[in-house]
Amino acid sequence: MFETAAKAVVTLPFLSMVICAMLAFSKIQKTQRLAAFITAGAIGAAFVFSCLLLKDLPQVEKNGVGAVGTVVHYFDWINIGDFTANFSFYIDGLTAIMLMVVTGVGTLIAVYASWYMDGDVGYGRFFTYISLFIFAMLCLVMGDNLLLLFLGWEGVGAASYLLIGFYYRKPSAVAAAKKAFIVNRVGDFGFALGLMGVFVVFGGIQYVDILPAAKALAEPGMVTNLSETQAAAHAAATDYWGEGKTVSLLLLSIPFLLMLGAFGKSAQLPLHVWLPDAMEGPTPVSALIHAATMVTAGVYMISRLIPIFQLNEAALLTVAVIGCVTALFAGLIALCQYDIKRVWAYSTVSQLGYMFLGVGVLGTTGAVFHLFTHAFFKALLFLTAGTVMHALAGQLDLRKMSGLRTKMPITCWLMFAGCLALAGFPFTSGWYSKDMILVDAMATYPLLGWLGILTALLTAFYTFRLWFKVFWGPTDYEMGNEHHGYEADHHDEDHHHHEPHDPPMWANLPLMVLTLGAVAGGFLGYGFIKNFIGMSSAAVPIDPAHKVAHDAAHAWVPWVASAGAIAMIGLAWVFYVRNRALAENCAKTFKGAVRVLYNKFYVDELYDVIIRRPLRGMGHICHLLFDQMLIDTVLVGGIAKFPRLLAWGARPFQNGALQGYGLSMGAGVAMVLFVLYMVTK
Amino acid sequence: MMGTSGLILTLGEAAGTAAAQLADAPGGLTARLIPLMALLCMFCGFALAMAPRENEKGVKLTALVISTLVFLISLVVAFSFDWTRPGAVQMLVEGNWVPTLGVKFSMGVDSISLWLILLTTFLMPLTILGSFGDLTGKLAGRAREFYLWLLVLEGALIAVFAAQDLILFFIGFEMTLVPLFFLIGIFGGAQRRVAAVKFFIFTLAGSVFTFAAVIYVAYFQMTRTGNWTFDIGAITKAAGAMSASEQNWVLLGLFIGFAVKVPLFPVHIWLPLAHTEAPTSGSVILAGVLLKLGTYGLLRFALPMAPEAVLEHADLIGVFAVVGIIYAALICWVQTDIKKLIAYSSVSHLGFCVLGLFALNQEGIGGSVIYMINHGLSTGALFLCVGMIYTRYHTRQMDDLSGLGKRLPVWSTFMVFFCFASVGLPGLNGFVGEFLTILGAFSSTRALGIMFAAFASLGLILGAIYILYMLGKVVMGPVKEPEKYAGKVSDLNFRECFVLTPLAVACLVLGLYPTPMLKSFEEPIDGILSTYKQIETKQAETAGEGKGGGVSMRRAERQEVSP
Repeated sequence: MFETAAKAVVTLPFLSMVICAMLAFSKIQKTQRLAAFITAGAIGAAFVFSCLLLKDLPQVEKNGVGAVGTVVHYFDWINIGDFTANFSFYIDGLTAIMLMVVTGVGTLIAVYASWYMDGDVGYGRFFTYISLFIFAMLCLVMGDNLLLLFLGWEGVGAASYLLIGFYYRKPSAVAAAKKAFIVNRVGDFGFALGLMGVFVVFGGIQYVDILPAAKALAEPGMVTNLSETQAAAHAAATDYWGEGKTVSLLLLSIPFLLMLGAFGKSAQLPLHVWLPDAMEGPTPVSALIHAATMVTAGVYMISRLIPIFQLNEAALLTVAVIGCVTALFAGLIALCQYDIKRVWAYSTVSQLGYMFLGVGVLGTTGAVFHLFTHAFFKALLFLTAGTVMHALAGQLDLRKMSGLRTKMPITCWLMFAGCLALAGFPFTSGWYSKDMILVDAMATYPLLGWLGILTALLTAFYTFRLWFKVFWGPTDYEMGNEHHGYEADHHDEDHHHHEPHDPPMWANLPLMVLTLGAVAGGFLGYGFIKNFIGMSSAAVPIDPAHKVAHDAAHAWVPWVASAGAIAMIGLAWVFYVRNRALAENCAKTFKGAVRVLYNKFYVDELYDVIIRRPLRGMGHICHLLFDQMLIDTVLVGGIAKFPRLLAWGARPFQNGALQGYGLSMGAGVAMVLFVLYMVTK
Repeated sequence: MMGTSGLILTLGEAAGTAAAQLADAPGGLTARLIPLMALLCMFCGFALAMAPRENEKGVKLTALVISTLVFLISLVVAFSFDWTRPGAVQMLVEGNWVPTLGVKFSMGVDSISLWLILLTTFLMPLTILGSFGDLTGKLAGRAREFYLWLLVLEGALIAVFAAQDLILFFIGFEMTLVPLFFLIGIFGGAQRRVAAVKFFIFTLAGSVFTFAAVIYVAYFQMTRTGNWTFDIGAITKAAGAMSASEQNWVLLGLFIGFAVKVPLFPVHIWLPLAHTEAPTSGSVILAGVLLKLGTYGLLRFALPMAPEAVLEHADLIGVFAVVGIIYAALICWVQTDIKKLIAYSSVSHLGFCVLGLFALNQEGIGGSVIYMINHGLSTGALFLCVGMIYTRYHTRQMDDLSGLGKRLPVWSTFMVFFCFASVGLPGLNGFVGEFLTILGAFSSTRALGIMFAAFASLGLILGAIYILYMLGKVVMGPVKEPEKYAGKVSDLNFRECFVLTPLAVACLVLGLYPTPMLKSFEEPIDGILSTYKQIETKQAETAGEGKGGGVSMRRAERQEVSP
């Protein structure tokens, strides 16, 4: 049963993808609508099967070496020589949590999307891509080896590319899609090399073998009863551990290479540039892929491979610092954005930064917990933003909407719940998970902890800035000019100006479930997550010395952070409800800073100048200078000219004038005679 | 005059005896299927030339039927192949050809040859079906020649992959040039003559060196045993005894010819031109199969015949491969012609192939061989896709075309799919070879190393850049078509879908379940690597006996042995 369930979880979305792809070519809208049912049904069924896996999970025997997962073999994938990578699944507590998030949130969003995308000509295509995404994401979280993770990793990247570029006739969407895929590939470059490094060092890439082996290296003596293959991996890795500097350099660089992949996928500095642009995709996609699931893959990967990261303290510190800095950096940018979806996008980058801070200080439980709660509240925030956008015909500019509370009351209060959770209001889900990370950070690196608290304050402010601006104040809005993702065409028949309104009840239902998660996910999920992380390879036991600092921080950090958050909500209220002129004056005073933040610190422009242009210039140089001039014209052309050159030299002798031939004949005869004379003499 | 006719007579007699011997070859009927495939292609191809000129439809159908028949025969061969011993040459057919020189007509297959033959026979019917709409305008009425040359090409390719005799291999190798020369020169684009001549001279000039090297090895074999033979197995076995400098020269000769064929940077210059000018079918077979003759040759001859030279120079060759990967990828990015972009991408991809070969381990070589097959499928399909656009719009310029996703949704779906396969998306076929070749380079203990893998991996990023650049321009973006055809073209018809679907299925299947194929490569690769293992054990022994003098000792030993 367990095995069948695991296989079904992955197979169902794949089948759904194939069926939807066929439906997508149908010209009949009704047939296309089937795609939504099939996709939502398949993901929903995958959710049910995930629950079955979850139910059976506690009975899985622990073997005491840190890897407590069960391996389910599906079929062989790439096997040659010593290299093995199969379609096999590794199921432990961490997998179970990720499955819950992916299939659970996935189902809800698929239901919402069936309303949101209604009437779009690409309806079937949309759900094909969604199924592809879910399939790849499930491979990512369930794979029992690094290569299957990589399959999911690139697969979600491809799905993300297709979905960002869903409105493919819009140049901005095309550019954003391209950017997302290519920036991710930069990360994948690192990941692929890290994977190969793991293969060389450990002699395999199966979690079952490498994780206990790495754990045994990191904490010698703690880990006993390694199985035969695990011991082999351990023995192989021991050769790279300690002796011989050049070889161990490989082992030490593995976490850094893998980290690069995580930074790409989870939009951390310096590879964060693609995520805000990814908002070009339909909003359900932003909620599902660019907030709840795909972007958290980096956090999942590091948590999963935490024993390997533990082999290198510097790598962990780097992860923590990058996470912390990204959180602050993106939080600052979010302050000055006017596009609703971009505010949430930068907020996502910022929250992901928290998760990296969490794994960087070995607080995997906190990081995964935040991943879990974030999936709920950020999906909720995106979907409500999508509702607003849908109601205002594509309008996303904060400056062009105000006081929508009266028009869309349900949406208003749903988003409020999400905002509270994001801001870390006491007892909401975000409060629990964020504070867990802050406590861990404070106990390990106080500086990072304080920066984290500072970011928490920023978060509360920009969150409520948005909410107050959209829903409070005088009711005033300007309709956008968009119709199913494109500039509205006046011939479109179902395009007519209407009053903004809430979506129908059945489409709001998923949002309500998400609201429940955003509000209550914290105290309901706390024990559940802790228990399941404890039963996974991501479990990191706290050493006693650390526990004292941890407890001390735990006593005050949550309260300081939440008091600050409430104060910032108050400040946002003053600025954006009570006296909006004040906010504008403030912005005028700090004009320079606002411009830098509005332009996202000019990172895009910087990359364009230092990377894209030189690279393309090199392309031109290679093509014109080397390929066409040097190789083709000079070298090949030169060689081809050579026979002609010979001919040119010999041509004067063949001019047809008899006396010339006579002369050369005579000269030849004379030479022969001369030689004969010399020889015979 | 007498001399010539005498020679013809002798050859005729030789062919007669060969045919007679073929008839009673051991191994039963199935063994004769391989030469049958090659001969069927050739014979029917020439017979086709005598068909009535007016009956174009008949000619096309006949060509399709013949190539399908050959594909079915190759399936029979595949099923009667004993997969439990894939390393052995099976279904061997031998007949004396020029007995005084030991030249034989011998064909047989091991798993690598068989897979490549299957690739050829699989691609050919699809290509022929795909070309049904191509011969229009000035070329109308020339179908006979077109399909004649395609079939002859198929026959030659089968002969090359199945050849167990060097001379036969070379005849096939050179014979592939002729049909393609005419296909490009007659049926190509505006610059077809230049392209055809350049292609012909480049590859011919290269193979002269290869031929010299091979003849030298055969001569070396003769000096040792006293008998001439051109049996590939026997020659390879003897070649190991060559001195280091002899091996260097042999490797150089082999490498020049095969590198041109691959084509490796910097002798790739003929390929983009040949591709842009060639008709679609020519490009498909050229990229799909013909280029693999280069890597196949390196695998069959260079690696086993000159092991010490390979060990010494693998890094240098690796540098060429890696530079080629990056260089060609950068060039792809600035192309304006879709077909030229794909042509350059072949140069980049084949760089991975060569890199994998010279990693000298299971992962690298296995990855390289599967890359040959996968590249044939995905790039072949891409060329077909581009051809379908060309027949509709009569342009391949990216500036003229945009947003075709709206106009040609089915075509665009296939295009995106094959682009993903080509860019190495895991789960599709391109990834398997790309990953394994890089992994081979990374983990190799004999040559190359981490830095080679790191630089080759840059190809992953650049590959994404140029392919998405092309997709972004052609499939996506605001709709733009040449005015003459705006709104008049229709999406793929049933025939075209029927051509692309098998390729797409093959890409998916080989992406998700390549293990059986990879496993079948292990044994032949082990055969090649055993030479290297011997060298290593010998080195270890000499290093154990006398310290420091490993290399010179080994050479001294060899000089004693060789006469």
